[in-house]
Amino acid sequence: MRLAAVTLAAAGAGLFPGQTLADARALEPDVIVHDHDPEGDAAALDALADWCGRYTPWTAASGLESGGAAGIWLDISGCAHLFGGEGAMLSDLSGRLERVGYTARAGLADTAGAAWAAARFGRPAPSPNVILPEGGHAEPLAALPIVALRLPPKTVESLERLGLRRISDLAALPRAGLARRFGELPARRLDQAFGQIDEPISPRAPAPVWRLRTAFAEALGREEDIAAAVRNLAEALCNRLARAERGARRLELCLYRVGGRVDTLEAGTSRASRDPDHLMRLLKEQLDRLPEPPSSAPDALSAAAEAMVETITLAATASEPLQMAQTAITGGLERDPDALEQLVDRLSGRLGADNVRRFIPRDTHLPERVQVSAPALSGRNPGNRADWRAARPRPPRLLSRPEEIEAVAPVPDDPPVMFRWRGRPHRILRAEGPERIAPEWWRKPPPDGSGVAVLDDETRDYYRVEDADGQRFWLYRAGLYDSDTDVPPRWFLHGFFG
Amino acid sequence: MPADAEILARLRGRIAAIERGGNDVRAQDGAGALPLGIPEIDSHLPWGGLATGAVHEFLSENIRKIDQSTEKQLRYKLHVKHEGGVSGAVTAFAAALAGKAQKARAAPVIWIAPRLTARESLYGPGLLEYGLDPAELIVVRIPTGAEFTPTALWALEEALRAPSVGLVCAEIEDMDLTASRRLQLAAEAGGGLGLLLRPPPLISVQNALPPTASVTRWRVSSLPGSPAEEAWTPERLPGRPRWRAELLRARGGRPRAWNLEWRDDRTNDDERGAKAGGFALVSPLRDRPVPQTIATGFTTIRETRHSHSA
Repeated sequence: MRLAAVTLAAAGAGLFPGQTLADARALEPDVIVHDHDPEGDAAALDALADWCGRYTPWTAASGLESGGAAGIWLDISGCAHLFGGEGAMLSDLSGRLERVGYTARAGLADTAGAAWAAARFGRPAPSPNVILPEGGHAEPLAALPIVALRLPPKTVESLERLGLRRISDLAALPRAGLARRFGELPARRLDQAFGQIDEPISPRAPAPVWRLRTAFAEALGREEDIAAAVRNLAEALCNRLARAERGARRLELCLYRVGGRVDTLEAGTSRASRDPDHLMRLLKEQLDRLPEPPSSAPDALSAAAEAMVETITLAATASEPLQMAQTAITGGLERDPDALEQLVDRLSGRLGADNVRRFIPRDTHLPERVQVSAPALSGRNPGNRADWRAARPRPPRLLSRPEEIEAVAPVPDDPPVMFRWRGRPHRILRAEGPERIAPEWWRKPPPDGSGVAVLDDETRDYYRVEDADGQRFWLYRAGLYDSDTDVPPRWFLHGFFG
Repeated sequence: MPADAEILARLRGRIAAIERGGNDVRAQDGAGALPLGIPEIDSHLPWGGLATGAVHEFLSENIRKIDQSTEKQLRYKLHVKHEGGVSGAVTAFAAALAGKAQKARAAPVIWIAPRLTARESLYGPGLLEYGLDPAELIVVRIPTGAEFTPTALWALEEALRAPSVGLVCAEIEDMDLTASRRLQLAAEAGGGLGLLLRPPPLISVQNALPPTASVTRWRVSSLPGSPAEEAWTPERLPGRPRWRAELLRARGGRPRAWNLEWRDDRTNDDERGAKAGGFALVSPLRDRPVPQTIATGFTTIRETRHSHSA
């Protein structure tokens, strides 16, 4: 067993990554050992990259590295002035990370490659963060060692064996020979670092255009305060949308907490809306049910302090054009055409879009296939009355899976005289039928057997029956009576009439 | 005396206004009640039909009577729990009322039901037989479990408050006085019309459900259908569906029971004037076999069926 990562204190005692556990214990008997958890580390890194969204929406995790280190990319074009300049922003960032418990160094440069190198290998000046001047990254970069170019260790080893120690040495070589010996990666990394090739960062989430942000001088702890702040943001967002004649279809609310956590809430609407009341109601449903964030703080007070919210962003991740609406002049209770959509939004928000459904008709003979239910928010057309009309009477309630019953019927075509369902016998006094529905021979069953349980590809004879109590059922017989075979056809109950 | 009748009518109006709590939703809207289409029933109800801005309850009949022996009671309990759900008769009756409300108020209908994946669901073509257009229907499924009743009540309240909903049907089993009063207030505030469909009670020996604040309470049971018109097999065909609708309690009205049948669009208009696509009263003199209706409301049709008071 080997060590994957060590703390600074352990490094001071002589432990290093890659050392065997036995050696480490020999050097330092009281060393505390935890299991290496790469997935947990990656998840924590992603969460931290999300949290860095308070500085800029363009953040990405650059992955775990050996020795327990990890990196985060931040593209801060245009964001630095919000934090008082580049230097102030970097020291704010590293200061906050240190308060949370990480040891961090930041590097800032024009290109991603140069920044990566500067963060890890740049010589620290008064502050531990390294800022390469704008346009002037070439010189400091050239002085850094080769390993700052993000090359694999074997390539670095071979280059060093050839006597190339610094980036300036590598840059001076002719490209053709370099490519022949080591592939195209070193050349590409050189160009990326010096800025000849663009290296864009793909951020964790696409930055929406409609995004508003509030930061608080003192973090908020009370729910009412948070709700009031969200309400202000919602009104400001709706004003902005109104000026551009757009409405929001999907909202994303992010609460950035002091302890480094981000809580993200999402809400959707069935029609574009810029009504702050409506949007606020959708968000409030979820805000009220937000669970308590877990924290590793030692006591409840600092856990509460860590859960306080210091920044809130509200973004409309999907929006559509929405014209100005003319409201009526007269007051009173008028029929609001949006009220139904708003009700559907509210119900979908709390129950899930899957649980608010409409029926869509399908052109088919099989009764269980005629009706498809789709979420109301999906906007599929429910058809009109004429699409639903069936030639023969149909029951208002249908079993999703027909249940098998025992029935006694005169052969070959007469309706049953008695049947037993769930242990209870029903004596049939009146019946109508048969209505013969043949299977759809042109349709192959889906390969995974999904979909409605069309249990058979047998012809069905449907009967509408009424028992002694007046209850009316819809039964069918699967298959025809055939005097050749011994197996009698089976009977099923499919629906309930009024 | 006409003067007395006028005074009585004015007093009734004032009492009704006090009961409503003074909100003017119905006065402005103009639609005070949803008529059922049968003059005998509409004139018996105090509002001339089903009152809007109110919640009405519909109970299912008990399918089997309760026997004295414990064994049979246990089997009944298990059996009813297994069958569960709202009966077909109540579903059809509610669908018919929903269709009328949809047409009268030109607004969609919301149906709130438990999400039972392996069981039955509403079927569009069947609902169309009762006049309910499936294209204007929104079905809300509530996940079953411990949270079913509060969530269903919340959804029902939201739908009752929304102004542009024609009618809300909800299949809810447990309801107490507080919750139903809250729903009634929500219906009055939003002008909505709510139907509560209650499955048959699980256990109670007296067959009684606890009182609620609904404006009317009905029980709908199935009856043998009408004799068919074809001469050659008059007894064998199921004919038109018939139900016994018992008004168990009404705010400001008396209990009564009627036998109704439903005529869908395919039947011809009756010579008595009952239109196709609506309810019709089954007259005791014309159609047989049929029981008589008594003013206090409850009859026995056969020894095997008892109607219990609620």
